[in-house]
Amino acid sequence: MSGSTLTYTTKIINASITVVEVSGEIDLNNSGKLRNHFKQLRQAGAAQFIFDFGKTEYMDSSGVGLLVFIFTSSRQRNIRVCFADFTPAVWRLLCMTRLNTVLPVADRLDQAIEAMKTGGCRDIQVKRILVDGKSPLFTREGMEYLELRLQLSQVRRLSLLIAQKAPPDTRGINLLEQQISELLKNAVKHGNRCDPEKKVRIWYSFSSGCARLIVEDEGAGFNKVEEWNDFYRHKMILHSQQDYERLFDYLSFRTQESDEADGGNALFAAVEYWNQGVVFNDRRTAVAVKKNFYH
Amino acid sequence: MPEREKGQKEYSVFAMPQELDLYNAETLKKKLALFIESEKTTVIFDCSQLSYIDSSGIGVLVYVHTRLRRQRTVFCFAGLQNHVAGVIKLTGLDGVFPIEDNLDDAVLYVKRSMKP
Repeated sequence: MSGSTLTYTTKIINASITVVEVSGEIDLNNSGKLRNHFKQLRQAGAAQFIFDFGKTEYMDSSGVGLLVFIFTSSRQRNIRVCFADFTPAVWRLLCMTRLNTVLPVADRLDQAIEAMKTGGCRDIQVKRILVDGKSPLFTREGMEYLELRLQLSQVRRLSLLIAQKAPPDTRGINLLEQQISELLKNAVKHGNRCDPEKKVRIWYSFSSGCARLIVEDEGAGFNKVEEWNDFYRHKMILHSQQDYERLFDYLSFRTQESDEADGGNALFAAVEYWNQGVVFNDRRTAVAVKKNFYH
Repeated sequence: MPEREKGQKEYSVFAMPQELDLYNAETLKKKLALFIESEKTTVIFDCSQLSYIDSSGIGVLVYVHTRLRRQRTVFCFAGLQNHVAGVIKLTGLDGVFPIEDNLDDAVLYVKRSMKP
């Protein structure tokens, strides 16, 4: 059976960029054809590739394998490559396989072309939330410790009290207080679901160059870390491309549990503010963060 | 809530509170929903008194932004204090929100934007 259809057209733009427009479906039966086409172009001397998947409606694991092959073999040969304009179905597949965070991707063809001009569509560096209970950020020695049945109504006051333990020369103490309050709010609201019987445990330490915090709740754990990382990565790609029109769909990360008072943006700021990392333990009931202050 | 007299003013100014956080975000959001519904032309959100904002507050700004964009109302946030500007930047919303340094600039901005 040869039910699937795959066609591709190749053109050279701006004198040096080879654009391969791929239409139809990439699967086990035909991915080899496209692989050979790519190899031939490469052997003929092409050194900058954009694969335009705007008309690729379907891809199976061998199609995904082909993307990985194109990416890794190009990297070894110093060839620039960018994958552009995925259809929703294919993008979902890439997200499922986590490759969306590895492959150099652009949302649209013109953005891929622009990126090539300015040094290539490299993978942009996007901060991530980690899950690693053995992270050094969970080292609790020498930290102050608090344990309490924390209510939402006390979150800001407690955040202020903790932030005030930072050395007086700490810059942006307001921001520190606010970022602490977000962690406490998440623990009380999303972790403990505001259950007055449940406790929050807090470890903190401050020095003139560094702030560290660990906040642990008694909830079921934040099981959306991977989903959040994918979402944030896509948001930051759009942001780096200044594609504000499409960015509007990525202003707020919402789950079924989100309510009206949830901004859906606290962790966006957290991964940027805590510049030495935001890490969850393996049960995802505790988050450890660290910030270095640069004077 | 500021009143807008017909035919006299080309824009309304909504004064943001001193703090916008988890404790008052929901209330303000409701208030803003009513305000936005009645406001078909142009709004300046005066943020000069706003000295503290958290993610719930940012959520309210995103809500305002989404609603007004959808109904094609010209608007901007004016006079942000450092802390608020810092949180907006950390959240990656700089460049997304229309922001003006002060009320005068905001007025210029909305007038320019309203011209056909």
